[in-house]
Amino acid sequence: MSESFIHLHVASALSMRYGTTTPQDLVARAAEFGQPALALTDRDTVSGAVTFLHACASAGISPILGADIALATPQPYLPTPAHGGKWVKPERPRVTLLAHDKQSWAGLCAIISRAHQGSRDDPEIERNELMALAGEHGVVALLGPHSDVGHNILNRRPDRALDFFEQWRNHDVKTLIEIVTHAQKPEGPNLSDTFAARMLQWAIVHRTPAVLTNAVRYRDSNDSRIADVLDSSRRQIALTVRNRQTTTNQAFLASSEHMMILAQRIAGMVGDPRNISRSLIQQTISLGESCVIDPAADLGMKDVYVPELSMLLPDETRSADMVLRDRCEIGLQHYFVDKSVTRTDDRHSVSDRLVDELSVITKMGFAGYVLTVAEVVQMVRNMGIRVAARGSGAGSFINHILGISGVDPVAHNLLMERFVSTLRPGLPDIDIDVESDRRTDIYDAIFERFGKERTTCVSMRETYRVRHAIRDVGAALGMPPGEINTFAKSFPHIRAKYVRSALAELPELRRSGLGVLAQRGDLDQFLDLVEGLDGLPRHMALHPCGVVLSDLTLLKRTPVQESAQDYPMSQFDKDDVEHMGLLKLDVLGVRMQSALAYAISEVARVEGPQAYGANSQGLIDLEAVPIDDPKTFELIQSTHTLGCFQIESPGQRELIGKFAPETFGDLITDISLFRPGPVKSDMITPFLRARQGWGDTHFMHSDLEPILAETSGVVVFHEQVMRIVSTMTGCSLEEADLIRRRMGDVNQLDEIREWFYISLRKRKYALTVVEEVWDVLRSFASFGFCKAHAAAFALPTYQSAWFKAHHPAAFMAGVLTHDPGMYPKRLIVDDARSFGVDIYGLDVNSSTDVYAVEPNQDGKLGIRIPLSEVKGISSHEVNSIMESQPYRSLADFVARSRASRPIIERIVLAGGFDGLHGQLVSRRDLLLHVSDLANEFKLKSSYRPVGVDQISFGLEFIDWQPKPTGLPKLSLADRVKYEIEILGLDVSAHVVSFYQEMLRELNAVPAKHLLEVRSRSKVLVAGVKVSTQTPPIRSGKRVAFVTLDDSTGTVDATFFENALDMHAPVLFHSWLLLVSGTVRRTGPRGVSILADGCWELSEVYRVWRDGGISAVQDLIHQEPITQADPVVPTRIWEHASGFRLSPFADVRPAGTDIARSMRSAAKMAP
Amino acid sequence: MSRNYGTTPRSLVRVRVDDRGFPTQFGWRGRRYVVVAVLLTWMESSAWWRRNSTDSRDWRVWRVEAAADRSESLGVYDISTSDDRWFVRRVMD
Repeated sequence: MSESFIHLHVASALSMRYGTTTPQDLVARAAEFGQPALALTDRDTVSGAVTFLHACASAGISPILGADIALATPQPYLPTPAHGGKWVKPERPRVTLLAHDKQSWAGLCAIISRAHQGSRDDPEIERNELMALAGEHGVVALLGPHSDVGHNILNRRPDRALDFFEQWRNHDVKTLIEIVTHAQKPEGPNLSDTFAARMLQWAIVHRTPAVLTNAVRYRDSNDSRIADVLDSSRRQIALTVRNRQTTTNQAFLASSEHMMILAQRIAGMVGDPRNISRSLIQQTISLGESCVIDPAADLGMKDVYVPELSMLLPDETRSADMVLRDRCEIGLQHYFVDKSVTRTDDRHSVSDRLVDELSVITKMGFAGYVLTVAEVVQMVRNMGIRVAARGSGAGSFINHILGISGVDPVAHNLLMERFVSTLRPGLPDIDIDVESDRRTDIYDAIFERFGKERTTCVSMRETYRVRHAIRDVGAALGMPPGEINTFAKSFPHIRAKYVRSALAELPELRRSGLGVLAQRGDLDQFLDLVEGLDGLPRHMALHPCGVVLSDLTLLKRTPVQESAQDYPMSQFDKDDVEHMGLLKLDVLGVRMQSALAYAISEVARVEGPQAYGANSQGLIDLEAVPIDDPKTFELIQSTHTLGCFQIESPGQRELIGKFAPETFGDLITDISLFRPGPVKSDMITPFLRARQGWGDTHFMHSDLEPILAETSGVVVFHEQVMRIVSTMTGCSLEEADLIRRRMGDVNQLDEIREWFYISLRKRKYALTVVEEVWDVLRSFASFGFCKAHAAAFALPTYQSAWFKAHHPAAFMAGVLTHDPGMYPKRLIVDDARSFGVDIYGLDVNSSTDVYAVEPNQDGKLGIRIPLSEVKGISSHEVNSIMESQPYRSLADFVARSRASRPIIERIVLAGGFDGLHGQLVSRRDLLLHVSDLANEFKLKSSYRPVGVDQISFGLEFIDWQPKPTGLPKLSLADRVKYEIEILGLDVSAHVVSFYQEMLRELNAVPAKHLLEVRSRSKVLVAGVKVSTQTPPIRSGKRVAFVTLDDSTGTVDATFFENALDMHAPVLFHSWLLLVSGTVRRTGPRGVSILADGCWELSEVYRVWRDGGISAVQDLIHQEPITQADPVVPTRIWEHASGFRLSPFADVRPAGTDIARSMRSAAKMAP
Repeated sequence: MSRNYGTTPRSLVRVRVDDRGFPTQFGWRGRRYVVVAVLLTWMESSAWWRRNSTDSRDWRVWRVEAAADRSESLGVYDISTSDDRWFVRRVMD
């Protein structure tokens, strides 16, 4: 029994909520069993194909590709009642399809795409359509126990089975019977030996070839429980004996011996076990061998597919190479003029670079690609949308002169080799940043320009993380929904496989009831299942930015399915499409670009041509703004960069405080330094020391001086690594880039080190130099930053800082409207005030749907809070209120605005009518007036669209005035409370101001005075939490950075693990905080608090009110109660380069996000 | 007519199997049974997800035709195995 077996029906985890094993693991198992080939036939998808092909290639197994497709039935499969009052959709009949060449692959793609048309949740295809497509393209069909033929054999209607079977044959489809047994009970469902024998019998009687498969859905029989959970999640019904779909654990990737035994068992029930089983196995193997896929010939994976040149230029007769060369020549001449390059030497070196780049592009066959990207960028510009290239593409001079990238790579020493290289196969990456709120317009335009047959979006697989896993396991086990919800929500957003370590290590979970249960082992089965779901794909989503542009072969090479946003998306993800030779353009929506576009339009609207930097139409051309504006760098150095792109986070502000960037080049360096790589290899400290003149600039060797001069001797950029390697070893920059990439892999380090040492010693470098340089390069690993990336980022960074420096009102209005940054709006509002921009409250006549710039009588610019910030208001309501502006009275508003009563009341409480009536009556009076008017106008509690119960009124009400009723005015505290509750913003006063008296007594230090406090002194600070970050840090411990705002400025506090341990629940779940700690100087303008404790401010306030200052002192100095916790060793991930990382670093902490918690916190205000 | 036996010590049997794992003989209640034919085999798994489920084993069941020692009459027996322990689950006359 040495014969091998080939599995022809295998589902991987890409069969969402069905399969449990990755294609790689399945391939590895088949290889272990010595099976010569393996098929991947996922349900309704081929999205695992590329991964599968790669795995097969490295395991030396022949790949077979296909899919398992559902048939639409004449009677729709209606849900049927199941145990427990649930309705369940029965599974539809399914067939297994196999491709075997280019044409049948195209057919498979067409069939899958068709099945997904019209149904996102339950892809299915009409049988006739399927048979026609399969016949036309030569797709092979296996009709198994779940097929139409199988169902009829099961129901003892062999005649009808034959009818169906002949239909397949009549469509010229190569059709075989698929025999499956999972050893289910003979009298029960249909994957039993008995039924398999009946199907085999039928096949023999009708002289039809049959094959044996195991309808595989997991690797090991142990995985069957995960499959049960997935069945339950897919069918949305808890596991019960009656509902359970598969009753055995036999759908594993079986060994050849196991399959032989099955064949004999089944054959024995039909007749002669030896001959029948042998021919069954033989037919299976020979079908498998005939279906082996050649990735290059059948899927076309070695080629590049960009839109035909005739798509770009209908009348062009020359080749793409010629067209590109021509355009570059013109671009070069413009470049010389624009940059006033006049010296012959300079001109020569620039044109030499162009010639080099062109030869690489031509050699790689990328001319069409570059022209296509240039076309798209131009298209976006013509639509009046801001666009900027990002990524390594900025390193290419061609990209610059064709207008794809705005950064000049010659001026900033950027390298083409980092972007594209003859030594690296595959298409290079060009990403473009566009205004986020115009992104879909751009998608639409691209689809229109290139056509749906050449264009598709890219999918991505959302995988199970801990919360989803808990929800699905809980539901499968029939836990009450409320309990599941609480359980799931108490976890941060981490991977499912960390569920146990999170329970053991995160202080906020360890102390919870769950932590205790887990320690007792009561949750073992549950947690096993949660871990088992880890990383399994659970949903296909639209990749947020990838668009594929190809030629007419696109839909013959990839199936597409509809996304929730109605764009077609390829079943391949972003990496797969690259392997398929498809050009993927990343169109990223960047809110900052929208904010800038909005700011430009506000300047034009309010100030017009006399605005600073504006042209005759009042428009500011940000691309033309000089990049050495002193006022802009003054702003950056002041660290008041809230709202600015890339440099607004507390960590970045600390860095620019120390660094004080003076040029655009400095900005590039700054952005590169603030990355995990440089932080990890501690580049920042030596860099700052050298930069500030505290340490010597050390170049290691004079050859490196020209390379490292720009960063004071410290290696910061990928480009510098490439230059160092190339200069010292004498290899080309392309080779140097390969070396740089390989250094990211620890296993290759020794080999590279040897090569490096030998090359350098040959070139007579001293051993000490070699050692030092190697150490620097190794610690850099591949983690530094690509300078081209940083340069591309630095442009919007600079532009946003320029805008903030020159037009703070318009800029802040843009930031508030498009919300691009990390901070809550109330902090941005505070920041605007500190820049001299007034914030005007809500007003029914002036507020609109955006934060509009509004000049006061003196021409000073302020920002008006928009109607859209009112809690619960719909965009229809905002529009209908705006349509009828202005209003003469509250009565007028009630009559004409069509707003609902709760919204009107909220607008009243938030001060929206103070402008009309505020002089005479209080907001309380106005509320009473609303209730009178409500009766008068039959006001509804929801928005009334035009045309619904329209009542016409006379005009006499317009000037009705509310009467003062003698009710007291709202206190300032109440006003702020309502503002926060309704607008999410404290407009009238800062929330912390209500605690002023207590804070003064406590000697808490206001943020703006912190710089004057001596380093290392103990202080108390208080404020609103505006951001919490738990980033990766060098020691690998978990750390939380918290920023507080107290109306005088912001304070940054750092909680290390021991402080976190005690205070995590308060820290993560409260909004107003009192923090104690030690002052730490970080630079000339930088200061932060090393925190040792924190308390909920309103709680402290209660203690102070009841017990006075001494009670508060007691509270603060009281040792926190520590339980005798079992000491759990904290698990730390250690990276190749020595970088250590807490597994919980960089995850969003548990608890609601700040903006949301603020509204609920309004109730806590004193 | 058939009689069901649970998985109690009383129904515990000793079984001899061939190289494929098929039962060939079993001893039960002091008698030796020789398997004449394996009629069917299937798997049964427990409701493992149930809280407090005490038995979460997977069973393989063999329906065999067997004859007892020194007896002419054949009977049909369901014998099942899990963790190398065998039980006679059902006897059909």
